[in-house]
Amino acid sequence: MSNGRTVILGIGGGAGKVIRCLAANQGTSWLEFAYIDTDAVDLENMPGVTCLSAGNDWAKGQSCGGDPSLGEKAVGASIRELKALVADTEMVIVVGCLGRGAASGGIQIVSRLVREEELLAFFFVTMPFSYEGNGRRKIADSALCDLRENSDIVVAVQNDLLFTTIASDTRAHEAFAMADQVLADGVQGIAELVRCRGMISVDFASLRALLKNREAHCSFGIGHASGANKTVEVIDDLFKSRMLGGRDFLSRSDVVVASLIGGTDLSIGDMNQCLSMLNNQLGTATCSYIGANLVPEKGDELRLTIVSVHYKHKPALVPVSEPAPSPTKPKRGRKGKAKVATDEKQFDLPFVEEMVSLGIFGNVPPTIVKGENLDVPTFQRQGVVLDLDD
Amino acid sequence: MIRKPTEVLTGIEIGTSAIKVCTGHPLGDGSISIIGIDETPCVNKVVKGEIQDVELIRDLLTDTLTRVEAATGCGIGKAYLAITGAHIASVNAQGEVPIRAEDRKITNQDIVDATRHARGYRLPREQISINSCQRAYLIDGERPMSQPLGMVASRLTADIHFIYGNYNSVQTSCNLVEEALGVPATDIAFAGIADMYGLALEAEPSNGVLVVDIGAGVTEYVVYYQEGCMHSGQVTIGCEQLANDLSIGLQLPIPKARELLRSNGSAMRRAEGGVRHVKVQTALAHPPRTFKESTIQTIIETRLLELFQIIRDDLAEHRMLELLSNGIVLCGGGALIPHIAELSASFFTVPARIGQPGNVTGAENEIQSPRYVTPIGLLHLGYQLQEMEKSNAVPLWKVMKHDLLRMANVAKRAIKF
Repeated sequence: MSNGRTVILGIGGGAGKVIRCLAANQGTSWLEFAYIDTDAVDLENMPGVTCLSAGNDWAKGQSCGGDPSLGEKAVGASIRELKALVADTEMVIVVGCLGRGAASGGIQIVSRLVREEELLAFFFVTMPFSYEGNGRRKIADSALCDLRENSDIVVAVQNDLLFTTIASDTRAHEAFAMADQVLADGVQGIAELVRCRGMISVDFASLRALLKNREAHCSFGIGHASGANKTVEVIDDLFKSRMLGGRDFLSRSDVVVASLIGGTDLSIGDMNQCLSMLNNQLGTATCSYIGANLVPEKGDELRLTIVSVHYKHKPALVPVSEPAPSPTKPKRGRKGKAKVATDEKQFDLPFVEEMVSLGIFGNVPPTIVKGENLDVPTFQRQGVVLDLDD
Repeated sequence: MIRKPTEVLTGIEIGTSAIKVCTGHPLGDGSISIIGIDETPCVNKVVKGEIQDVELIRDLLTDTLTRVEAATGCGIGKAYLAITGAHIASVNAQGEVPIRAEDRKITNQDIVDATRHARGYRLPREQISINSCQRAYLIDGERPMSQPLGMVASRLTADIHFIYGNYNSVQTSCNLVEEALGVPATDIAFAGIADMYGLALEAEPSNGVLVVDIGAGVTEYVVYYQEGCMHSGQVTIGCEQLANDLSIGLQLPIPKARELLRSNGSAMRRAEGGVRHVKVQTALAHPPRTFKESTIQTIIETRLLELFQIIRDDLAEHRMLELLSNGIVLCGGGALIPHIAELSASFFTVPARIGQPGNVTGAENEIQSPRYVTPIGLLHLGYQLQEMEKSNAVPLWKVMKHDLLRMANVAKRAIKF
């Protein structure tokens, strides 16, 4: 297990609630929390969280009113504080609920910052509910599109997935509280997934290889159990996760990253049983990356975190012919207009060229199977790291 | 003894790495005496099984044929050509007839009609049938039967597996052979079908074998079940991709990567690979570079596992996985990679072995290599076709079962078009 600092940074009102839940959660003492927003009301009552008031001098504690360009400007004004906050961290997990001003605009500033500072960053964003209307959806899509340009790991979760598991007669305020709690658990689960260097490792690099340059929607689930029958219960508990989308949704996913965390008394039989039960739930087309870790303080508890990835398209990884935009291109002024996300944009990325090489197959018709260009070496597509030390 | 040219059969395979020509003389008992074998490398002129430079390949083929002729002292005889490439695809077609006889017994005529209906399947535009194989007969639409003659039924369905390819691509290869030989090739066959004959699988119990021919540019696979081809396919991945992966991963020039694949390749990661090192001299002026064997093995294993995964996905989609009880036979140049049989056995969880040309005599040291399975298979195929054509007394069902006569006709059509 690594000992570096991990900062969880929330941007905007929605993320604030998640951060508040997260700070109140058990077993999060190893994490540091920070929260940045323009709205002074949201910044109050955040115990254990470093709060930054964005653009305080001109926003006057008001919200951005749903304008991402204002959000970008406000967070941009606090860049020095942000820099100090993330300095010397091993990993930054950025949480934002896209669709409104501060998160959609501000997250772009943070993504550029972590890229410039060469930090490991993990973006955990939610997309608005369908009923919030097209306006917010467009803002969120556009923000997500821009975010993917600058960052390798973007876990985008659909808020609508919540409705698949919450009973329709649940009171609205309870449902939202539940949603915040679920998201907080998810962020914590993912932080643990990446934090542990396990016996069977699923690490940052594997997540990056799966999500880099891909337009994907993710869902996640967490199962807890303890006691004699924990291996079976943990799977049952997992399927009760609100943001997983149910068994069917999981079996249809393209990739599943799962991490089993247990105490030191976890037996190989339990581990085997639990992971094979999970595997049986996955569809034949699903590619799974399964890891297992031991954390002494877990004791008898077993925790299974999974991130299921649904690719929107099965992109062919081919070199782009047009010059890719520079990552530091100024984007201000363009944010005000809601921009429809285009499919081509995703592949028009600055780091595609360095990732793809075709060697002798550069000038021949490509071998495309299930949307993948098989002329690109398999180890590159699967993100296998080669040991080239002489 | 100089044999008459008509007694000689020649198999021609224009592969991605080399043009292979093999001549043989059928001994009458089903085995073939190999009298000449030769090959000419043609790297970069054939890519993924598709000819890139027709003129050059024709010259190389002419040279190879001349050398074989000179070495054997007899002519080329009947030539058979293996076809492969990205354009090959396959489809299963069904044809149905109601059984009208009063006693509702299936007659020869019913079988012919059902088969004819199945053959009426319209291939996609600009595609031409290369091989067609009888998969099974279905009685009343559900019970599969290999020999339905005389059975009582109300309906008979014939199920045929068509292997087809792009007309122009097939024609390019055929024209090239015709120009090199002066006469058209007697027949063509999908390389996977030729492998099936080359491995002499008839001798084995026919509980289902997956034949995988890993060539330089294309991997062909065929499911051989109950003396016939049930399913076939190709993936344009082969040893060239392995060499390319090594070249990119280890930053080596491609000829060095090919050499490394031949000399130090291993399909599976070995325990000792982490401590053993390989030295590669990249350029004369530079000091040699050292790589861990495990790195080389990782690159090869990930690629091969992906290839096997693609094949397995396709087999699973066509419900062929349950027909592989006799395991996997690997052939082609890729079968020479050490430990590849172990890798495929563990991946498909069935026994796997490296196939050698079967039922052949003569020049044994040279020909006993999985690389020659395709050209030698063409000789076996040619011989069986010849026998079929000679004897008109073959029972109708047998002709239908092997389906070789029709294959010949289709092939001839392909050439005469």
